Amino acid sequence: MLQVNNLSVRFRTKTGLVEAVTDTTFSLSAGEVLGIAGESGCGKTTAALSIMKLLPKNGFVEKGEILFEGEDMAKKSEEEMRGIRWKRISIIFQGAMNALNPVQNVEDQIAEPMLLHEKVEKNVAYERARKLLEEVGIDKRRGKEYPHEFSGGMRQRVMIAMALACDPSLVIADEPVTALDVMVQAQILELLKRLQREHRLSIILITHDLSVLAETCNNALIMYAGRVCEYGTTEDIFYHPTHPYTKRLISAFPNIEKEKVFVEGIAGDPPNLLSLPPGCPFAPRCSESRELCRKELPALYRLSGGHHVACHRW
Amino acid sequence: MKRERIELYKKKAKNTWNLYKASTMGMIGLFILISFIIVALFAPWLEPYDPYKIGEQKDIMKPPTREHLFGTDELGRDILSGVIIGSRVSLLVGLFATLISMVIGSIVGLLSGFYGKTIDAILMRITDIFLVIPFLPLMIVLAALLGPSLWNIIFVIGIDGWPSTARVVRSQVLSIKERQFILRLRALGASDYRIMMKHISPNIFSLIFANTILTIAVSILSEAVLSFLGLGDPLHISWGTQLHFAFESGAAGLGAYWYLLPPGIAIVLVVLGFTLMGYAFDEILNPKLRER
Amino acid sequence: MLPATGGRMTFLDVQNLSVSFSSQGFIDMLLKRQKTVSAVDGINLLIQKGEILCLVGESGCGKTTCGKAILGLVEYDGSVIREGKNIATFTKKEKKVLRTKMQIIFQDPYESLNPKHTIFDIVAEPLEIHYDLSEKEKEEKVIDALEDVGLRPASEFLYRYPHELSGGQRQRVVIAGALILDPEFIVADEPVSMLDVSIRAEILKLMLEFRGKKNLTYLFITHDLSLAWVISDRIAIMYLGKILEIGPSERVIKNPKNPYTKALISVIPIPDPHVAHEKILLRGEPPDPSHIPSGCRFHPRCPFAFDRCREEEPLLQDVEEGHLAACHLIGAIQ
Repeated sequence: MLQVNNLSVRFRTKTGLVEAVTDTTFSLSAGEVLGIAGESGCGKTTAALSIMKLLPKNGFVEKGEILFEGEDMAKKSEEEMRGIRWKRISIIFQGAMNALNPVQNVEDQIAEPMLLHEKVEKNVAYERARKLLEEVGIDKRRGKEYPHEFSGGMRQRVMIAMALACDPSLVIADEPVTALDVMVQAQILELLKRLQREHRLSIILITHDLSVLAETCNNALIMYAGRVCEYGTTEDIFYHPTHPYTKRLISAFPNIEKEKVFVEGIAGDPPNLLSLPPGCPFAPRCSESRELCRKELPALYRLSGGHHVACHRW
Repeated sequence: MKRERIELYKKKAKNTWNLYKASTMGMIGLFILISFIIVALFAPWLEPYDPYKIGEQKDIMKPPTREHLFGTDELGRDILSGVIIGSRVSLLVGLFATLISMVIGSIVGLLSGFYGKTIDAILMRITDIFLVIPFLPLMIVLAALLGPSLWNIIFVIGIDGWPSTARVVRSQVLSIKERQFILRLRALGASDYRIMMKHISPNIFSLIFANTILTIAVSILSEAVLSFLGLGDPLHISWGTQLHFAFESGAAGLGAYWYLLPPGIAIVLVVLGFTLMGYAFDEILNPKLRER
Repeated sequence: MLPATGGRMTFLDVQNLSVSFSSQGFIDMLLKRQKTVSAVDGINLLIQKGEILCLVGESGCGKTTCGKAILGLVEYDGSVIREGKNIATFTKKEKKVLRTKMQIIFQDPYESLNPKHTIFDIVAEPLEIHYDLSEKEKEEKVIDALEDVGLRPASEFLYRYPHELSGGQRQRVVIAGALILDPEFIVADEPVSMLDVSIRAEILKLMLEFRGKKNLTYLFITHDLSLAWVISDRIAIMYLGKILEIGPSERVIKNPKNPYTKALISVIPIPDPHVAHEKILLRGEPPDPSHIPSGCRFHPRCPFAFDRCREEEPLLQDVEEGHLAACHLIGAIQ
């Protein structure tokens, strides 16, 4: 239902043109959870925001197509997007807990998108809002309370309820559990999985935490410096990691079910998106790099089925 | 090594200057101020006549002529010379009064914010008392008690100004105090004095600087007001005293615009100059304001 | 008293450590109402020389406060004993010397450095506070410290400002500043949680290197249990100001005895799409420290709680060699 082809997004800054996302291709089928993983600056959030055309003023889609249910989002006008946002695609922002309006009670905030986007009666909207609160595990009697009266985890649940207000088909969750304690994190992830099943949602989960991705997603896209490194099902990525970055990234996350092994890091500095070296952006830090890697960009190569990798070793 | 550090400072100064140059308002302000400062410094050489010299009967309240570019006042004195020499008083009072209020205000704000608890409570109550005391009545009382001298004016304006500086500094200190690098310094064993001087001060410097520029503008205005009301030093010509005598001698009724406008415009220009400068510095020191 | 582990010497003996904060407002003061929040309540730790002890817990459990208290950065009740002497009885001078031996590294590399100071200033400052060295001596030591933490060539970094450095580099500067005094003990409060994942391991490796080279002892504070498992010798699980379980990290993770520990371990995300075990999802969230439950602090959320748990607080008891846990179920179901 979502097909992104050769997406390139740029940001105009005082110091130059930032190549936030370059030549990125991926797809999402209905009812699936796609995880986009990478470290800060890899372009995952930018790629997701461009699907909803929520880029900041100095950002623009240089090229590529974003086909959502057959229509190219990249070509849509702002007005058309307004009809799509929240109704068909909604988003749970990073640091969502602070994205709530402190002077509006939670019930109002969940009902608001419904009243704005759909022609429903006020009491119908509020009924649905209360029902959503219950679905996300909050007692509906707390609807009249204000955000500051809830804990971090509960506020995140409110954000999720808001995202589901207009019954979208695609939900983008940008680091939904990053700032939460591990137990609350587990609760929220369970909630997301349950909601996804019950509402038959398609979800794009953006995260830097590969363990979270492994547990919640069907497919995974690993990004580095705005480009795709590896793409496939989570089994492909975790059992047959091919790209050197993917391999190193996985080893940075401890696995308590296995033997105790010290976490691995990657030497060197994160890439500078203002002046990327020619060739593969990971080459400076790659232990398996060769001459070619520094000169030429690797193309996305299909290994098997849906498993793709962008590396000169293939 | 020392050389690198000097290079570093030179680079920083150059950067700041470049940023300042980019602000048109800042440059206009700077131009205005430099002009006035030059006038004040070289006043005795610039003035065409002795501003205090009383003129002859025929030269009283005369409109601008070639001999007297700004005309004469009710005592036959040349007004242009008066404006020129008046710049000294206005600027000096502004500078010194600001110095007093910035020094007292910064120290109080720093100690209050840093130590908190009892010291804060005491200092803030004192600050509140001073904030509440009305400016003009205080000046009137002091003038009555101590006589209207220049130093009294400087003193009163300074005393009036320090509380607001203290509050601003205090709130900034409070927010810096809680930052992690300060806690780290405590863990390293840094003394209170070291933390206040080496760490908190540089971080509130830009705030104090911007505040100072605006305070100078306000002080100059305050002096003008006081002198205009007759509370100023009658022995020294300032723009405020010129305006005072202008009104006293009925210049408004006589339509003697040449007497009223020059000192008034001078005040406006100088205050404008400082305000524009303050604006430009605010933009430099507060990068967030730049992105517009 | 807790038994020592691994045959190491005791470096720091923390006895009955308690920290409480007063949230008394003006009205409360008038009405003489005491409103205290107990952040840490009677913690005992025997920190061994050369070990890495991890304090693990969720937010609000008091782990950071505990670390700060041990370094004397907050007021506390109880005793911290070093080489037989209670630190509280040290003279001002002795306390200052102690600062050179016990250091702290904070979580946020962006906030730990004074933005107006150069890297040289920042790393040289500890030397200026404690010693009287010539410019040349200072410069040499700073360069050594920077190179030790991997910032090479040091001369490139001396006159830069924090905002010119990346997060990982800044954290290295913080570590350099801590190590330049040649300390014996470092409290590291979530030192890598704000860094990119690939950088974390590099910083952790650095910290471990120093443990070997300079015989350092670490108190590592984190909420990340899997990280604690990988890098520490011992783990202590904290909840609402108390230690619920403590022992060698391998034992605590593989053979947890306290239900809270078991639940925490069960929900650790695993980088594997097919997870073998069942997750114990607790209800709700940790209560806020101003409303501490009676008896066992964990009982409202514990799936195995029974009457005794509501009334009586369980004490830490031996489970196996060096491994203790506090729970009324220990011994009952074995």
